[in-house]
Amino acid sequence: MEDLKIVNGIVYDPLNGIDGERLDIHVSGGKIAERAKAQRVIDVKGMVVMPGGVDIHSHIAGPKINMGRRLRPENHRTAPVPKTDVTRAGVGGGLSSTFVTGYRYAAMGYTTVMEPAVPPLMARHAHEELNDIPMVDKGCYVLMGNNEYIISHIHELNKVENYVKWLLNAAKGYAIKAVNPCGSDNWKWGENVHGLGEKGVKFDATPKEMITTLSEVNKRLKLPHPLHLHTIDLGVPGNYETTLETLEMLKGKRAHLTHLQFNCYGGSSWKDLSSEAGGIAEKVNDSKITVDSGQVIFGDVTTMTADAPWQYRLYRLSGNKWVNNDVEVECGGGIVPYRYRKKNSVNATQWAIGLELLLMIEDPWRVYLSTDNPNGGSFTSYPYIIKLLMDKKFRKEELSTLHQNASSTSLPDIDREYTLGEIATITRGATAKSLGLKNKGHLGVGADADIAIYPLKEDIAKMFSKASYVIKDGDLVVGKGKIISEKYGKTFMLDFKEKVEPDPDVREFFKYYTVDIENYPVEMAYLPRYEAIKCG
Amino acid sequence: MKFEHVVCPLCGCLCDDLELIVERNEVISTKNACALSRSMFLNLNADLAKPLIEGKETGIEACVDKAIGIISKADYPLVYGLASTESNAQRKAVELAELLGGAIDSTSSICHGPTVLGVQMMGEVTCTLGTIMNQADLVVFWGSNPVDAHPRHLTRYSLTPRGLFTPRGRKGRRMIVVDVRETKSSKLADRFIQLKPGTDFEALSSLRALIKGEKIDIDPELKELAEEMKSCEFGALLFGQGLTMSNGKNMNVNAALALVRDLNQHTKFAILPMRGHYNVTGADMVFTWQTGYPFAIDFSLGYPRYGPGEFSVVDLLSRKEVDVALIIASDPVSSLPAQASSYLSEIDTIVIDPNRSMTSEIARVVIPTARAGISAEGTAYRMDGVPIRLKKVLKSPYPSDYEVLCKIVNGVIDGRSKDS
Amino acid sequence: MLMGEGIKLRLQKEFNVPVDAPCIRPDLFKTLGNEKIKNLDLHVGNKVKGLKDLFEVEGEFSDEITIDGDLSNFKGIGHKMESGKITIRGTVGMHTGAEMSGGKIIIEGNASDWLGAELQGGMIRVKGNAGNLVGAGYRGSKVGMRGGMIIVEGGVGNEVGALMRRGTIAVGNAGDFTGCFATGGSILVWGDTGERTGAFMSRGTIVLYHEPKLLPTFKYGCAYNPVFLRMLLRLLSNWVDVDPQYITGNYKRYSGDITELGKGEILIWVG
Repeated sequence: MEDLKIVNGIVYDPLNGIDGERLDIHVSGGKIAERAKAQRVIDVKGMVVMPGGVDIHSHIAGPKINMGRRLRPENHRTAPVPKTDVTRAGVGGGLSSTFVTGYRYAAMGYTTVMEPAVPPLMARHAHEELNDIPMVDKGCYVLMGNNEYIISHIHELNKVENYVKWLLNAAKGYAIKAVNPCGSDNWKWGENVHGLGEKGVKFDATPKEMITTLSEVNKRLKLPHPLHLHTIDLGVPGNYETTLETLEMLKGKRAHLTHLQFNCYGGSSWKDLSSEAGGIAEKVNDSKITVDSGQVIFGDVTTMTADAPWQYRLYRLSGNKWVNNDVEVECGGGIVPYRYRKKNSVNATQWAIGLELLLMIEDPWRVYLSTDNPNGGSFTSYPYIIKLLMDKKFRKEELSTLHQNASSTSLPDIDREYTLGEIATITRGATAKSLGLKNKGHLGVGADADIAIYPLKEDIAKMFSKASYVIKDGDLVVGKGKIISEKYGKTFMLDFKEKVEPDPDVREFFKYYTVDIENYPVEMAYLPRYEAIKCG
Repeated sequence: MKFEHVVCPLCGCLCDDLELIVERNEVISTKNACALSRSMFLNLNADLAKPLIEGKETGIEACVDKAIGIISKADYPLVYGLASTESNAQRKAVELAELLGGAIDSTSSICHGPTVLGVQMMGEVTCTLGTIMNQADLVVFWGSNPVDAHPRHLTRYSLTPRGLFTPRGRKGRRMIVVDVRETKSSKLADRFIQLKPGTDFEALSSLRALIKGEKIDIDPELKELAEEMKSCEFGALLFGQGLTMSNGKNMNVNAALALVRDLNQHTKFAILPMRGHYNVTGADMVFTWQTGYPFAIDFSLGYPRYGPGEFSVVDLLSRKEVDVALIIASDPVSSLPAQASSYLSEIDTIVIDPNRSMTSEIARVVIPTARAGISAEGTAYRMDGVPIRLKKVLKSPYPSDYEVLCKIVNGVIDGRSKDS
Repeated sequence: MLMGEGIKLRLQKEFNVPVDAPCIRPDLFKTLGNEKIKNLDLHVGNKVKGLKDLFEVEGEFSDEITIDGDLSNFKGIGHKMESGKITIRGTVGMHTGAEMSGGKIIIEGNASDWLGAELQGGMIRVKGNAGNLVGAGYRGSKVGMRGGMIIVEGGVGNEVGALMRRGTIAVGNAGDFTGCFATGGSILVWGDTGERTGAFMSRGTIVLYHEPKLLPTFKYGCAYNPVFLRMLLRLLSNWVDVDPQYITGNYKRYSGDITELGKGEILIWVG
């Protein structure tokens, strides 16, 4: 690893308050340094320098995405990716293979990606795939919102706290994820939940209790990232009331509501579905909550969530092939291919809502760019979304090609255009901060030397789709949007400072598993390169 | 020395509660193992492979070098097997096939390949085995005989265990077997429906029509079965090669997948393939995350292409399209149709396997390895996709499959850089 | 541009390693001089070779190609072609004419699997037999053939016309699962058919001239002489001998597959 000096770039480093200053960046030993005795100087005159992108929510590894890949050979067939002297072959449709996933993120200047939904029983699988994703650092969130141990101990906070800590450690996960809390468990009996106060089919717990319990445990454990919540009633017309209720319930607390676009719907059916993004944005503005947008992109996608009853609903709506998997004691999940169409009133409205959220939530430190890859669209669409945010004229042009209902939202009236500094915030600075990754998302001294350098182009989408240079941990890995050297990043896990033992009744509960508790925790062999982030 | 919580590297059940007593590098007793597993563990040292070139014993390094030489010159090599090894070896095998511009296939293509094709067409409504244990009040075994093929399936997962919502165990569960002949499993069933051979598709289609409320004229037993399936609280259909390898193959699976999917409009129902080799599911998984495709993959154009019936082992060998075969932890000579397997003795066949086999008898090069799950650690994926870490309980003088494959990959790369 | 006499390819030696040959397409050849055609890349196993390494090449700038030799291991000839004509004087391998949208392919010998898979338009005629999945949709696809015509004088394997949406396929004999998952289009089988014809079909027409064994999920409706079929048969008589009684005769109509939408039809000629 040689020292580097990157000179003459225009630097956007929002975490350090740098907003388009001409600065030199020094890299030594894989870190940003005060001053490096660099042999190698990269002159990036006229280019934009940002910290490497940090994606807070993208399904890239594990049983669900892999079942999706297996389900869709027709999707891969049209998107082959040949091997090169430095990169592996694969496929790059909406469900890219592991190697291609890493290359494509890196080409866009992203260097950290979090997989947001891992069933702990399958965590080994997720880690195996993460280890086959090159170029980026990564981590995973552990599904807990339908865990039957937690559901059945919902009022015993200490027990849940200890269990959650043990489970995070066993799965080598980074954060608590809840998906349709209690709803997906009900799906094991063919039901869902409707409303935060509804009790389960087999258990007394309500979504409200599950959310507050997990958020409280998250606080007690001082986890670096807040509770990552895919809330109930996702995708359902009229769900904005539940979303407002959820936001009210979490007021003053730390929580992250993910792919919020899917939870901002007014109306009472698909026919009269409308945007309620305005009210939701106002409520978010008024809280400590962070959110990511969950933008939809027109075209073919493969939807996949641990919200199994929602996936069933989507199967019934679309008639497309449907995968469901109920995982013992822990969760479930589903997969359905879907096509977002410009001329479909619902899809056009969904498209507008994603942008409304990003434009109407005032504080860029609390709203992040995402497509819920691959649900709303591929992560490779990020440059297109950035252009929509930065270019009002382009937004209007796109809007004019859509079903008219998209124009009944407030989007046509919004004049806001993101600045490069704000883009840097919603794609790296703020996401790194929300994740509690102190060495990511900025270019201050001591930070990991993950740097993205973009050509300043008229077409913003082109600018962000192919970085001129990407530096990962101090190594130059991308040149002119192409991988020039393959490198494997590390996996983030948590450091609880002390050994975590399960309660005796967790051992007892394992009689409802088909795997021995001794064989359950993921061994360190699955994290060949890792960084443990201290809790607290 | 006593080993506990040992994972059994034999069938797709991947039982993880075995206890072994090991003395002088031999397993001398087992606890919790089924008869098949016990027999395997107690006879591990029988029929071990030796490093051979052209049938002559030599050193392992020489064998690896020879293999590198042969495979580097191939115009279209096949990498095949991989169902009985761990996932790191599978990962490396894909890398090798990609590097060589060859084809790669696993034993999936001769057992549950049709299942994969079915899933790609219809989707799949499934669950983990523990969900069956915890919830199922009805289990239907279709063309599968767990008593003989997966001996502990019924007692660990699907029939007798008491789960979270199944406190009565066997008493609270109905077992139905649908098959073309009586089996040990059908004798345990509450209902046995015997089909005429080759009529599974008609039976499954008829059931689907009945579930939809259509009136059709069929065997009253099937009508009763349809009612039972519709009225259970949580049902599971577990199918084996009696369905996937009989007349209709992937279409039979399509019909079964569609039946279970449709049943979910009435109740909760799941379907699971009873996969044979302990890590054939892992081969599907690894191939899929690295290439997008689960089996029958070609790299001759530098990128992966999918071709069951085209790049699958039986077809490549029967059509004599490949010129070198690298067989890893598998015995195709004993398991493939003669027209395919006989071609293996016409071409340069290299075998990587801990044990002697009919294939190693005809191979030009045999590279013995440390057996995964016995003498090498790694990951295996249970038939329902649950990943479990295999243990090392015995020492082996040989490297693991993964280590050998690493050497071959590096050797091929080195050879190329010398050439250029 | 001046069209030549046609381009002739003569295979020089036979071997088993598969050859990927989608570059052999008339709409490309018509733009190329002889040298450029000779230097087109073919994948032979894991090696890249020039067309001239395998074939003797005559002619240039023509959209008519004639190929001589046993091409059993040649895949993807005419793949995605949009116009022109290929005549293959021998047997050809998989994916011939797959995804083509116009033009004509004549195969004088046999064809293999995936002949005309996901065909969009144009015509493929085979004098001999063809393999499985003629005109079918590729794995995982929702839609197979969307237009055009495939005529096989001999027999075909299983799953002919799987996932078909539009177009016509006429074959001598057919294997099992003819027209499975069809959502439209017409398939005619002059001779014998295997089992489970029309399984999972929701729309479309399958016409049979020998009494088949039908699935229990098809229901008899009536016997009649469908008008559209008369027109289709008259059209087909341009290329195949159609018995006049087929045009005038009655057909038993079965509808299904009732496990799906059930709006497909199997018509069985009764004379």
